[in-house]
Amino acid sequence: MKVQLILNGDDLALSGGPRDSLFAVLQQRAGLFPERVCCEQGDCGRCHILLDGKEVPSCLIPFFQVREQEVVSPEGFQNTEEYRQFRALLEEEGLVHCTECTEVQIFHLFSFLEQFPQADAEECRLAIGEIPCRCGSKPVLERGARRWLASRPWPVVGREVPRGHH
Amino acid sequence: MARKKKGFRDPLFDPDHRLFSPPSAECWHGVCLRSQVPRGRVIGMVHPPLPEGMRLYGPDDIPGNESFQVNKVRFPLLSHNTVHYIGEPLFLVVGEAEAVVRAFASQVRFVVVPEQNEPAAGITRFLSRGVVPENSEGSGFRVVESSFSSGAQDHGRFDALEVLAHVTQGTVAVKVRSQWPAHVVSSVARALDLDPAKVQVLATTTAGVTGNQVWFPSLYAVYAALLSQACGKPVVLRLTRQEDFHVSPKKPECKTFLKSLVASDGRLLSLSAQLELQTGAWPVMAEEILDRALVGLLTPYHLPHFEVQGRVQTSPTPPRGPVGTQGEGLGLFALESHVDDICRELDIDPVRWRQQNAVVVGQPWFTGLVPKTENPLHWLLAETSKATDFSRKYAAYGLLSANRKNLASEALPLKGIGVASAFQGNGLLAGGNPVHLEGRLDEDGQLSLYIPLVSPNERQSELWKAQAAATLQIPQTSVRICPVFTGEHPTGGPSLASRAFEMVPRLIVQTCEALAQKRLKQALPVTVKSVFRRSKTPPWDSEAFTGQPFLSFSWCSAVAEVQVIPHRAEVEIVRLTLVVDAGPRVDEAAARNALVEGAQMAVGWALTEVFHFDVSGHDSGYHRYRLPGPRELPPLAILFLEGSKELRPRGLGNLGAHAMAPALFNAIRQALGSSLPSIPVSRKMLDEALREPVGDL
Ligand code: FES
Ligand code: FES
Repeated sequence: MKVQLILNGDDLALSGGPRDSLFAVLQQRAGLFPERVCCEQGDCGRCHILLDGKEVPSCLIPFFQVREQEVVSPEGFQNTEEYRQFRALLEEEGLVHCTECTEVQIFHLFSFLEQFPQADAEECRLAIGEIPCRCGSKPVLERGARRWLASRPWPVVGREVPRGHH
Repeated sequence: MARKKKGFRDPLFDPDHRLFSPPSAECWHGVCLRSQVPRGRVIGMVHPPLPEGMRLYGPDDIPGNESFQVNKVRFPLLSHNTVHYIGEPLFLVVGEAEAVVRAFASQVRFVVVPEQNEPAAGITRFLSRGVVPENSEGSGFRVVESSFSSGAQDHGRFDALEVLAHVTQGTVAVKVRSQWPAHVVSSVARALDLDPAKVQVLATTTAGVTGNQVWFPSLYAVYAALLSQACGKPVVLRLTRQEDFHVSPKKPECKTFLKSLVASDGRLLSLSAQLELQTGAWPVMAEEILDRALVGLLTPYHLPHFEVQGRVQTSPTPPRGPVGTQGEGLGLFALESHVDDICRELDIDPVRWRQQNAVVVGQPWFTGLVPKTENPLHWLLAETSKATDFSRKYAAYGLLSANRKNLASEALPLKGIGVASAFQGNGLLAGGNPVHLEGRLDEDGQLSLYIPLVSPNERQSELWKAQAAATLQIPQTSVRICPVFTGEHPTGGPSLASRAFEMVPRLIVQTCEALAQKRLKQALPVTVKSVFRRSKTPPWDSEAFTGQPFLSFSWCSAVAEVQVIPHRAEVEIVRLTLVVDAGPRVDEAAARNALVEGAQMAVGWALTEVFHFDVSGHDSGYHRYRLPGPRELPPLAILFLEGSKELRPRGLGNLGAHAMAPALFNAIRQALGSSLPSIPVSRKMLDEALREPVGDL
């Protein structure tokens, strides 16, 4: 089965079986998520992608469902300027890299902040906790999220209200 | 050594891509065929026809030594005919397509005749010192008894173990996440019957204090290397997360019984304790863990008399390892929980009791030595109490709890506060192997360092480089660290974070100072080798428990504030506070990160991470195991104090884990006003405690 989709900005056709998950096809046919064996049941967050702008676990998405949709993987997202800025901010806050999942955490947090630009500290904390991990980076991510949101204009439907004039 | 003649062009600094990163299409895949029963005699194997090109690999195919060795303990790489636990690798299989190999492996069944096998010999310790003060049993003296047990804990990392091995003529290349590359080298060389100089290990960083599994990656590196040798291809062997969860080393389960004799003013007169560790089929590193657990029981407080028994128990389950603690955390959990029982019995403030009984200058320590430097516990506790308003809250919550009639029907949350103190012993009790470091300064001003330990993260390697650059006054970009380890590389024991903090920086400075001297007298290139040996005298005697146990100690105290919600039978952590004395911080962010990680580990161990084996050797399962989520992880307030005379930075990776678990446990018990027997504190346990008649302490 061949499915046409936009992967990290490129139009492309990927083939896979009718029972394959998007994760399996991305890993096996598109060379994404290298060397990573994850939970494959929606628990770990290691397979998250943006599907038409929404963050989803690709291990729980049937491959055939993504026909004509836009998929952005963490690899694709890492090339953006915003990612670099966000990352630089986290580094300033003292991010200690973990080889296993720092990128996953950043991807998840960034997508959350894009989706919920008015999130408060508690909502950020809960979102950060959605990716289970062992390390001590959560306080750094929380501080980073707060700073990132504070540095951006506060979007309000219908009109732009600058932060602090609310 | 051939390597030195090549000078700064040493190829080890630029790992050969063809060896360490072969195209994935060229790699074959290995899978372990594991026993499905806990014990018995293997009489056969049933499997579908072997797909073409695939190869089965059994114990008879191993060209070298058939056993895997960790310090003094040995066990078979692939057991010949006896099964020792569920999940034990009995055969290996390798083939081109991973999916096909896994599909085949899933259909293999071993025919096993149930049989009781001889359990591996356990380890025991018995220690007794001092005398019980006379007339202690009379009135005014109290005997307090407690028993506790703590469960196993997984490393909790999602990325399962993965190894690449590539055997070519004359070289074995292995890429693996290991904190003990020297052990990977020697284990592979031993099994393949090769000169260790031919084994090259590219050890990637170990990802924090919990990612460390010491000996476990070496075992799978051996399997991958054996398969690569057999099929002539680079072989990738990766465990699925579930497979990794079932067989990777867990923190050993621990049972303790403690009995103290205490004067009515609170003075501890005597402690007797029995501590039993469960270490699975093979007591791998169990001696170190057991001894450290006992040191954990004996270190913080002054003991005029003690009598301690330690025992390691083997069982038909996968071998355990040092997860989240090298051992002292197990003893500290029992001791600090017992101290709370004493305080409750005597109605004494727990901070005051700890301050009163902490070892002070001039008092002999359990080893018989009299410490020359002050134990920082006293003022750490004072600061902790001040920062958290501990004494007032402890008294208030105690009063609330005493006035309660019926816990289960309480509408309001039950509040509790708990304190604990803890230490971390830096370095290994047995001293580990001496650590060697080699530095070479070349004509072009480049410094090449051969460090035998793997850096715990990139920030740490940058710090090492900065230290070398500053000592030699060269730019940091001129310093490089060799990423590949071989048998001709300087050796060192496992890279515990504390060794990376304490030994390596000292060795780097020593080496660079010597290089600076030498370059004045001699033309470049110059090479210097340094060795770090534990100079502390007297040396540690693990039979008698005398001498200096560790390179250094780091200390901390912790307070946990909780509420138990009766109608949900749930614990909510309100606040965690950690006050730490581990010397100056070289990297504040990394230090905080490590402490948060340790505290999270403690929350999981005390509350959510349920893992146990049933009598038939089956574990409680991957899907029931839950890392603490955002609701269980409130912000952790950390306060660094630098009061002790030890001015060097010391390890602190396990402090959070050591102190926070008993602090939490004590807080929950205060909220409930009743005694709990074990951690993790499951919902069921809470529910039962809430139904207990009030006042039944
Ligand atoms: S692989 Fe774990 S959530 Fe998808
Ligand atoms: S980011 Fe990897 S363990 Fe936390």
